[in-house]
Amino acid sequence: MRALGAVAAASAAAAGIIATSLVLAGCVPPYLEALDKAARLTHQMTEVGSLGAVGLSTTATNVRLLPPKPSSSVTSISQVNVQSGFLVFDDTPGESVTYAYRDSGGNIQNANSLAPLSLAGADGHYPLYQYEVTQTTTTAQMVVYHMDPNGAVDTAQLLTAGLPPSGSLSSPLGAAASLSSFNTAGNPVFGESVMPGASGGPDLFQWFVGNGSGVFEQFSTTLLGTTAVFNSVGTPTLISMPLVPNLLRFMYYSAARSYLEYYSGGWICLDITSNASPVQLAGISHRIDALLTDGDLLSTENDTLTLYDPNGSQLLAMPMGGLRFCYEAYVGTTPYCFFSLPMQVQHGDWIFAVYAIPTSQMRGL
Amino acid sequence: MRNLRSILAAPVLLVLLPFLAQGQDRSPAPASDAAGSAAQPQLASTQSPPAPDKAPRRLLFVMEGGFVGGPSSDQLVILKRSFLTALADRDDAPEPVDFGSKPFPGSLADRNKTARDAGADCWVLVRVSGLGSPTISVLSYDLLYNQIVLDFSAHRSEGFSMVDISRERWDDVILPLLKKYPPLVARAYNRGPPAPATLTIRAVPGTVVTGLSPRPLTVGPGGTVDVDLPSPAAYSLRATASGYIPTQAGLYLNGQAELPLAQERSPWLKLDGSFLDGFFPGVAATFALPALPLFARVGFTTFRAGIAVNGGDNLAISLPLTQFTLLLGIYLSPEDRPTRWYVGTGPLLRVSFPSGGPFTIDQLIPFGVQAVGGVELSLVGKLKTFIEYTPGWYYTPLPDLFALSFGNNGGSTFPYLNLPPAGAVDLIELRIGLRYAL
Repeated sequence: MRALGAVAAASAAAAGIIATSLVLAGCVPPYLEALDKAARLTHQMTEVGSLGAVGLSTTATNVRLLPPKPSSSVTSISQVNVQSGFLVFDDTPGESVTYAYRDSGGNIQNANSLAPLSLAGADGHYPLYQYEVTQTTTTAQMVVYHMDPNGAVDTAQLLTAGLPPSGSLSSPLGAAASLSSFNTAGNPVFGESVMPGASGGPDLFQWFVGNGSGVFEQFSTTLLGTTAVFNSVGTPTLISMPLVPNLLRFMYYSAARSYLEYYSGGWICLDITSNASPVQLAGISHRIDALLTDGDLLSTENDTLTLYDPNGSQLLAMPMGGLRFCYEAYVGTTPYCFFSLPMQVQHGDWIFAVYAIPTSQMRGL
Repeated sequence: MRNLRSILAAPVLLVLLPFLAQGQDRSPAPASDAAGSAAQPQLASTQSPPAPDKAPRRLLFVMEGGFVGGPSSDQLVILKRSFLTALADRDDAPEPVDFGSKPFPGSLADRNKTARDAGADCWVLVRVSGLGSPTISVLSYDLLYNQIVLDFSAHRSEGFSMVDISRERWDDVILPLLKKYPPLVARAYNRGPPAPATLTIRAVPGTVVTGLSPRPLTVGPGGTVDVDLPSPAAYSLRATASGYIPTQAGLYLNGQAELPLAQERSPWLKLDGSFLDGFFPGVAATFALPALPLFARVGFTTFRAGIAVNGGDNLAISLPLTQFTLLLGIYLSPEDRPTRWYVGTGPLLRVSFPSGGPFTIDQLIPFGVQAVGGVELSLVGKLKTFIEYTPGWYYTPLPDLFALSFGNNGGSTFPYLNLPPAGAVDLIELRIGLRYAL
């Protein structure tokens, strides 16, 4: 009996050891589904950094990272080193902005946030807020536009944050200021775009301004350094487009050629380079998100990267697999398109990978 | 009346005399029977000596009533007597040793010992259930070859006729017994002190037999090998042959001239069903390499459904990830052992089926190398269970994201040991499962 007891005890101990081992071994394997989902695109890009893990609200969705643009001291893509970034995400009751950075100890800090940005009155086809990261000098900078003609809103707020290892988020513009005070006519802004400044120069902001009587003007401005004031550039160009309804939110892009897009049962994109006779680009049926320096038009609508040439002919369309377009920025003298990939990991934390590809190679994706 | 070789002990004889076939000649057992002993049960023997060149087998005979609807004790005595009489009427029949009416032991080992103590070299248990349409169950064991030779049931549509029981021939039981227990060759049979006898072993050519002689015996191309051994004596041997499961056999050598070895081919394919890290299912096929204790295994583990303790609030985990493995290994233990150890190593490939994305090789950890140390434990038949320790080295081209993928875990990547830029090692991986040999 004693022997049987010993056998039973040994069996129980062995079973306990095996069960404990199984529990210890029963861990989630390292795996990032989002990484594989976006692999077709990221394979052709350069990973320029990663950031995380960042703890956000468990109800946060639509999370994206907008890292600071490379400063003028960065002259090659291998020198780009992402250590921080603005985090934009949806959370009840609106959108939120925060700034995450890696401190001197290598730990990720999540600075104070700008929240909530109410989504009341938002038109589902347009972003109610547009987040434009601007040229990095001594701080990370981002302009938050809020444009809603129906609500008579056209404001901007400049957010700045220290570069790692510091990272306090502040707002030189204070509360969102009306853009009307920054344009000479004092008219409401219905659309905006930004073109990257070359060779460390300031980014060029373009505003599409309406005067309420069917006359619009294109307005160019810049932000220099941390100056809390937009500086007008050149003389506003007056345009007249009776086909475009007034008091409508526009997607507006301007460089060598200027485009205007609005939603009316479907996206209608106009080439307004010739102010007097806008031409509709029938090949464009998606919301345009960026006009690239090479003249191509980029859409990321429906998580699909669609590229159009300047005449509106579709060049390619690829699933993005959750990859998010950040902006176009110069690295040295070469314009790059930057993307970030948000990934949720254990404990609900978020991590981000940042990728870049020369704009000139976008057509080869 | 020919070859009536049975002898009945006096008490049984008194009881059974009225039922004996008329005219049968009976005589007591020879007192000089070498296998006999003081404890020996009643012997049934023949008056006629066996042919000079043959020696009959000695069969311990046990008859029992069935558990349900069996004969009464008186009827059982009659049936037993009838059986012994019928057996005695056959040429070359084994020499019966009647066990009487004592309870026959339940275990095989005890039964064998009882038979040996009774001077028998084999035993048969005949169990009769029902008399109207009886079922006769027969179980017989050959002590010389250490194996069960008969295990069957015979059903009769007509019952025993007790009035005319002397005409019962018991062909359905006796004929198989005669076939299984022919007389031994006299020159190899010895009831006296041990003397050399030649044993011919029949086996697959090339079989190596150990345990019978100082040097291993090798079965020749003809499939036999001879060995001179003292007889009678008990032996155990082990036979190994390339491509066959090793055979272990016990042998009580006492007259048999040949020993055929039952050799079973090694399975070339085994199928696994298992759980990795406790709770992620997988399957594998193991291909054995004949002539060598080597094996190759291909398999996969899906992480589509499983349970993990570090997945946050939910223990249930579903990842569109599959891990394919190729393993080359070697068995450290012989195939016939109930516990068989093995080791191996091989590459693994991780493939991903992300929702809405293309099938792709995993970006975070595309491949790795796995080591395996495992043990198989016999369960039943060809089914075994196994447990494997499967530590792995994982290559990652994205060491920063690999570390970040563990989230805010205080920098810990447990259970992985991060070794950037080479990859990572997971030292706590286990696989348990079932393995079936085809």
